[in-house]
Order: sequence, then structure tokens, then C-alpha cells
Amino acid sequence: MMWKKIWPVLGLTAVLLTVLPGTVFAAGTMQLRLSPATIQTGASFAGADVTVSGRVPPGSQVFVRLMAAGGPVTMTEKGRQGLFWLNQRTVKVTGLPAFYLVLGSTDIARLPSGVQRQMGITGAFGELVRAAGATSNGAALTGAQSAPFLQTLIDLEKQKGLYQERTADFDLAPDGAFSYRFLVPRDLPPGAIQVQAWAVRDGSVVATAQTAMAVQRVGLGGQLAALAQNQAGVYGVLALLAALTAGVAINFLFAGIEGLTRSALGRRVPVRTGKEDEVREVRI
Amino acid sequence: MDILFPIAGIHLNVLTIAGLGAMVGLLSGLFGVGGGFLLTPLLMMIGVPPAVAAASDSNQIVAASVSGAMAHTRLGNVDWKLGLIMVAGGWLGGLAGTQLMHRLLASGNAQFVIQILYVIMLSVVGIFMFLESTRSLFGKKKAAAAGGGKTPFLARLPLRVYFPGAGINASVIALLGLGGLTGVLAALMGVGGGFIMLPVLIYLVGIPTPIAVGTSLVTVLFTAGEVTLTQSMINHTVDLLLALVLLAGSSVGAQVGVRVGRLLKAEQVRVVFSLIVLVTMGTMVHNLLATPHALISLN
Repeated sequence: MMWKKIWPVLGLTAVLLTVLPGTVFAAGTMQLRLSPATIQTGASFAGADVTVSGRVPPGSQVFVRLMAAGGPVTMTEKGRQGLFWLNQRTVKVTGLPAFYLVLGSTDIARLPSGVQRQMGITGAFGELVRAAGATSNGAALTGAQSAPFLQTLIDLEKQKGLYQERTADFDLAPDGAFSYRFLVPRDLPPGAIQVQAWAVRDGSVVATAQTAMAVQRVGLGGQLAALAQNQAGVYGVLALLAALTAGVAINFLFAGIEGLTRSALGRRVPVRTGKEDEVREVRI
Repeated sequence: MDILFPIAGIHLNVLTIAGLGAMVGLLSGLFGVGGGFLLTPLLMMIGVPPAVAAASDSNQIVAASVSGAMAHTRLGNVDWKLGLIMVAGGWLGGLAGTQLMHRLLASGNAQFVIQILYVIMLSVVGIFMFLESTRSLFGKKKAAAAGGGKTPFLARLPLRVYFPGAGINASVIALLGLGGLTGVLAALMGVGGGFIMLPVLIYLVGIPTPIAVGTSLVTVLFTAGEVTLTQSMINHTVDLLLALVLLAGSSVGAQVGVRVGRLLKAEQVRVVFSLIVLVTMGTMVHNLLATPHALISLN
């Protein structure tokens, strides 16, 4: 009797324990890791290898987006004034990231438009253009007016490798484990990079994950840049003292070299006496 | 070996920068000029933002001129009373020039203004130098140095004061104005100003040449120092790393230039230098008149 009351509960529990983890897994979680989690950029930084890895529900495609927030960017538009090309308009662009990298295990264009909008990735940097804005003399520009400026800025960033959208050859295992190694460019901006990933299966997003990566500017260059921005007066005095010291040091260095050379050669050379146009030879 | 110059914000090859400094140093050692008026446009041509090129060049000029200023002070070639009046003018001019640069940067036309100023200056210097050197090369007599006889024009302006070091009476207004012009040029173009100060002091104020050379060098040192400070604080455009790499190259180049110059006829050197100046000017004119690669660009 008791068994007849218990087994439905046990059976249901067994079913739930079997199905639910997969359901929970499929409903919104995936594993995501970035290595290294921190990148240090110095004066000679030429880029770095980064590995993104994790686990998605089996049979899913993987999409990863790395994005660093950017500040306002000032652009100018030249026009002909007489003989010369002068800057005729200054435009401030806001809302574009400083770094934008999208990697997909399959072509983004093959995804349903609804999935693209859900991920905020529609290909050809379309979402970036929609989210950005431009103003000139405090007045907002229309979409058509701002498009050339936004496209120019995107093209410039693409040339530096800071904006990329591409299909990547992920190492994607049948059990859902994935990894991919890529190169970040040398102009990587300092600060935090937000990393978001999606698992897409059967035309819908089945899991998402987020993490972050830090980029730290280190070394003399980074310290000088920070000092120049945050303590400009101190930086100015430092620049002045460094120049004075270097100039005096180089002067003494070459005077010493010339003295040694003269001692070795022992020849007559012309020397100005200090009076105008008067020169006499001395043996050295 | 590319490194990131932190204030210029771009990657540049260290050897290219040092080589550029060495080339200008060689020319300055050959001809005895500071070379700043050649270095700033060359830096702009390799991609350094104009405002950073001008400000960093001023920083480099401080280093390049300190040893010469020390040497002339030891030789007694500096009239400190006269020099300090010009320095006062230079500091006011430098501050005004830095503020003007700040406004030009905000308007987006700093690059155009700097390039126009350089075209004008390089044209005047290059043409004058070419004509003078070819005349000397082909045996024409050199112009007589100023001194004695009629008092030069600028020395006759009001507020005349006696300067014992130079042994002349000269107008304080003229000296303040000359210093002010030097300061403005230093802030906008990254030049020392000696190429203007020296002939004005000799021919229009009437100071003996050695005193003019030493005093102008000290004025250049103090003015470039002030411009370095104000550009750092107001426009954040001094790239110390860039200035030091340039200095390393220019110091070596200048030493080589001085020694090579002893082997060549001065007129020949001046002809070559004037041609280099004119070619640089021509390149800048072309950049100003030609249709830009892109009409929309970063400011």
C-alpha cells in the first residue's frame, strides 16, 4: 500500500532529476572562460593570444562577443575653401565601443533575424550603428547625416583590428565543450572588456554566459600617459627636468669623448677666442 | 622595433624616430641652427599629430640648447639683462601661443594653421638661404655685419635702456616684442625661434654677433622650457618619450655634423640645406592643396 503511494513520487522525482538539470542547463547557463583574464600592455605590446573556452548544450553553435566601452570621438569633415582643404564641420560621435570582436562557430547571417536581434549582433556592425549617435555644435545629426561619420570610424577601427566580426573555427566537441584561440590587436584599449557568449540551437538561443577581461597598461609608457592626464603640472616639470638633465649629460659625454680623442691624436685645431671672428690654433 | 608613444598615441619605429633626429641633428651641426623648424614637419609627415609634434619638439629643444647655453655663459656671451627682458616676452608669447593652439585644436583646424605657418616660414628661410649661399658660392661679397654707424631701426623705438653686456642702447619694447614672437612660434610650431631672433638682434637691434648668439640661445632655452610646461598643462601634448628618442638621435647627428662641416665649404653646405628646406616646404604645399585621402577623419 505504502509502495503504491510512494512510487509515483519517486518516479516523478527521478524524472525531474533526469530532465531538470538538462532543462535548467538548456534554459540559460553555459560555461565560459577566457585565458588570460588579464592582459598587460606595455610600450612594446604587439598583440596577445587569448583562448576562449567553455561548454554549451550539445548540438549548439557558439557565439562570443568581446566589447570595451568607448568614449566620445571627435571627427572632422573637410571641404574646399579656395585653394585649400579646410575642416568645415566637427562632429562628436558617441556610443561606439573602443573594442568590438564577434566570433561565431557559424555565419551570423544564417541565424534567424529574431536571434540576431536577441543577441544584439546583426552582422556588418549594424547594431553598433543603430546604438551610436552623432552631434555637431550640440545638435543631433539624423541617421543619414551621421552614417558617413560612423562608417568612417568603423572602417578606421577595422584597419587597426579593433573591430572584427567573423566566423571562427571553434574546436566544438559533441558533448558541447568548445575552445578557440585568437589574437587581440596591439592597439587594445586599457580598461574592462565585457565578454558575452550565446549558445544557439534549432534557431533559438538556449544558453548565455558572461565574464570579463581586464586590459592594464603597464610600464613607463602607461605611467607617463596616466601622469600626463591626471597630474599635468607634475608631468610638465618632469619633462622639463628630463630634457635639461639629458642635454647636460649628453654634452658632458661628447666633451669627454672629444677630450679622449684629442689626447690620442695630439693635433692642432682652431679654437675661437670669444672675440668676434677671432680664431687661433692650439695644439691639443 | 615599434613602440607605443603614449601621448602621441601611435606606434612608431624607434630607429625611424632616432634616425629622423640624427638627420636633423646632422644638418644643425653642419649649419649651426637648431633644426626644430625642420623636425616638426618631418614628424607630422610620419604620422605624429601636429600638436604633439610641435610640443614634443619644444621639449627636445630644451635638451638640445642647454649645453650651448652653458658654453656661451662660460664664454661671457650672454647679456642677462637683455636676455631676461626677451624671456619675459617669450613667456607671455608662449602662453598666448599655447592658448591659441588650444582654440585651434578645439576648432579642428590646428593642423592647417601649423602647416600654413610652416610653408611661409620654410619658404622665407629656404629661398633666402638658397640665394645667399649661391651668391657666396659664386664669389659675390657677403653682406657686412651690423655694428657702428647708424643706430638700427628697432633700437630707436621708445623705452631705450643701456645694456652693458652688449654695450648698446636698445628699446625694451622691441626686445619684448621679439621675445613674444619667439614664444608664439615656439608654442604653435615647436621651433626655438633662433632663426628669427638672431638676424633681428644683429641687424635690427645692433648687438654684436657673439653676444647675440649666446643671448638668443639662453632665450630659446627659457622660452622652450616655458612652452614645454604650458603645453603639458593646457593641451597635454608633450610626449616625453618621443622628445628623448629624438634627442638621442639629434645629439649624435649634431656631433657628426660639426665634424663633417669642417671638411666642407660652408657655402656648399648651405646650398644643400636650403634645397632640403625647399623640398620639405614643397611637400607640405602639396599636402595642403591635394585632395585629401579621406574627407572625414579623426580630429
